[in-house]
Amino acid sequence: MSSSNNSGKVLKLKSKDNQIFEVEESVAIQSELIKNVVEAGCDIGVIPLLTVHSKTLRNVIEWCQKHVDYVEENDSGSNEEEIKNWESEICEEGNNNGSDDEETKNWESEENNNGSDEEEAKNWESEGNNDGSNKEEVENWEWEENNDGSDEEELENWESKFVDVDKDSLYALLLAADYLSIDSLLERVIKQVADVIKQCRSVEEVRQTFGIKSDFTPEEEEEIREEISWID
Amino acid sequence: MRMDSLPDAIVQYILSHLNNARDVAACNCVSKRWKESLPYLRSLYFPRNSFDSHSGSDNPDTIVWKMLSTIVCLEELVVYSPFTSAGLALWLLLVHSSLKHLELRMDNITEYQACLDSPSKLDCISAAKNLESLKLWGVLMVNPPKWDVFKNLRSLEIVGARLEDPAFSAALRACPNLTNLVLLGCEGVRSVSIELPYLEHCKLDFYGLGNCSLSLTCPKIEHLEVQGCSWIRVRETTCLRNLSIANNAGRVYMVDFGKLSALEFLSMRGVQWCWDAISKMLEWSSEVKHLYMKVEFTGDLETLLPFPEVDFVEFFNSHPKLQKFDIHGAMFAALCQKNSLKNVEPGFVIPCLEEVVVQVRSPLNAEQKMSTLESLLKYGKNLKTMVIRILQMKSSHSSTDDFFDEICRLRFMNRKIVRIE
Repeated sequence: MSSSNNSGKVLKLKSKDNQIFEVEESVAIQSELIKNVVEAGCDIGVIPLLTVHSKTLRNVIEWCQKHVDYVEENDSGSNEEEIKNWESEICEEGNNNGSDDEETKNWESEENNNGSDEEEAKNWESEGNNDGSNKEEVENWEWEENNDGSDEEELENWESKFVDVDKDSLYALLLAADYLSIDSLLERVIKQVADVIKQCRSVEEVRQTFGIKSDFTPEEEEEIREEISWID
Repeated sequence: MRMDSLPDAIVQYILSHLNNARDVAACNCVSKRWKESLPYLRSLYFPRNSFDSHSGSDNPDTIVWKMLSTIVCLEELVVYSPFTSAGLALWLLLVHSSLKHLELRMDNITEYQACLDSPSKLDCISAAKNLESLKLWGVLMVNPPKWDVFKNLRSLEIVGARLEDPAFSAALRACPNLTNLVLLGCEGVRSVSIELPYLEHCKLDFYGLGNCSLSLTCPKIEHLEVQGCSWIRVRETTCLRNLSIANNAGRVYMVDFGKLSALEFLSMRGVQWCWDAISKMLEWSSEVKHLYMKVEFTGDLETLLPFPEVDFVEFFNSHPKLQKFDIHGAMFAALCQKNSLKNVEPGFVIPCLEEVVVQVRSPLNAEQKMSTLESLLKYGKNLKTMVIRILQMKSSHSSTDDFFDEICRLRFMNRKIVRIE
C-alpha cells in the first residue's frame, strides 16, 4: 500500500495450502527470496511458497507491510500527499470488485474447488473491501505520523506484540522468516525465542518447552549436571 | 515447538542471544547440539549471586574458567561475583586475544590486604591487551597498577574507588587513546591532571571535602561533568558543548576556562562559589542555550553571602541565545534587586528564551520579584513555559500569603505559560 516508489506492481504469492495473496512488490521484496525471484525475472504468474502456510504467510505479509510503512513514515517528504495517495489506493482496492472477481476466477480455474477454499477466498475478498477498517488504519497512521519522537518505540512495541504468540506460531514464523530470508522478522523472532529460553528455570523446562530429547548418555548427562550444579 | 528441525546456524544464532552464565550453563546440558552451539557466544555475564548457593567441588574461579574454555571467541566478560586475582589471571590467559569489553566487581576498597606474592587484580587486567572498554566497581588503587599501554582502550569507567593521585595518573598514562572517562564516587584524590588527546566525554565525581583541583588538557573534550573540585582549569575548550560543575561539600573558588565559544549547556551547582568564579563562568558562556544555576551562596571565605546584584538587562543581553533558564538558589534574588530593571531600553527583548524554571525561596522583596517575573513574561517574546517553584516559605508571615496571591494572579493572567509547582 505504498505510493512513493515503483510502479505499484503487485505480486502473487501462493501459500503451501494453495491460497493466493496479492502483495505489492515493495512489500514482498522485504523477503530476499522473493527479491531474487523478481530480479531474475521469474515473477510472472504466481510465486509458490511451498513451505509457508497461509496463516503464517498472512502474518508475514503484515510484518512486511508494517516495515514498509514505517520506512515511508520516517521519510522526510510530502507526507500529506502520501496520505492522500494511500487513502485513494485503499479505497480503490476496496472498490475494485472487478479485479477481485477476476482473480478468484483465475484461482478457481487453477485448483480444484473444495468448500473450505472457496470460503477462504470469500473471507479474503471481504477483507479487501472492508472500507471501514481501512479508514481507521489511515487515521491511526496519520496520528502516528505526528508522533515523531516515539516512532521507533512504537515500532518496537508493535513488534513485541507481533511476536507475543504461542510457541507453535512462533516456530512457524521462524521457519517462514528463514525460508523467505526476511532479516528483520528473523531477528525479532529469534530474540523472542531466546527470551523464552531465559525464562525457563531448569534444563527440564527448556527441554519440555522446545520438545527436545536429550541425546547424552546417562554417564555424560550426570557429568554435565555435576558441572552445572552451581546454577541451582 | 520442534527445535530439532531448525538448522544449526539458527540454533547458534538463538543461543548467541544468551549471555547470563546460568542460562548458558543450563543450555549446555539440554542436548548435544545445543552444547555444540555455545562455543560461538560473544558475551558472558556472571551476576553477583551466581555462586551464592554453590556447594560443589569446584571453586567459582574454576567454574568460570571451565565455561570460558569452551568459548571460542569471547568479546565481552562481565563478572559481578567474587573472584581471586589468580582466577582472573587464568581467565584472561584464555580470552585475552579476543576480549574487547571487561567489567569486574573488584570489591576491594575495604580490603587492605598486602598482596605481595600474587599480582593484584588490577595488575592482572593488563593481560587483556586488546580491550576497548573497561569498567571496574569498587577499586582500590593506592599503588600504580602495573599496566602496559592499552592501545585500543576507548572507555574507562570506575565506580566506587579509593585512589591515590600518583596511582591514578599512572593508570591514565596507560590509556592514551581514551575517548570516555568516568569516575564516580571516588575518594582520596587531591589533585588530578588529565592530558588525553582524544578524550571527548568526561565525568568526574569526587567524594571528600570538595577541595580537589583538576587540570584538564583535552583538545577534543565535548562533555564535561565535575563534582567535588574547588579549582578547575580546562585549557582547550573549542569543542566543549556541555559543562556541569558542582560541589556539594566544598567551595568552588577558581575556574579557568577561557572563552567557551561552543558551549550550549552550562550547569553550576553547589552550596558556595566565589563570586569571581560565578561571574567569570557567566561571562565566558555567552553562547549558551541552556543555563542551569543552583548555587546557594557566594563569598570568598567561610561566611555564606547572598549574590550581589545582577543587572537583568545586562544579563540577558550578554546571553542572547539563551533558550532555557533554570533559576534556583541565589540567582533569582540577585536578578530582583532594586536597580536590576533600571536599564530597560525600548527595543529590549529576550529573543530566544522559551522555558524558564524559577525557584522562589522567600517573600522578601516581593515587589521586585513580581516585577522580575513580569519582565520575563513581557520581554520574553518566545516564552512558552514558566514554572514557578515555591519552596517551603514560612507561612506565619502575612507577606508570604500576599506574595503567594500575587504569584497566583500572575499565573491567572498568563494561563498558557505559567505553571506553579
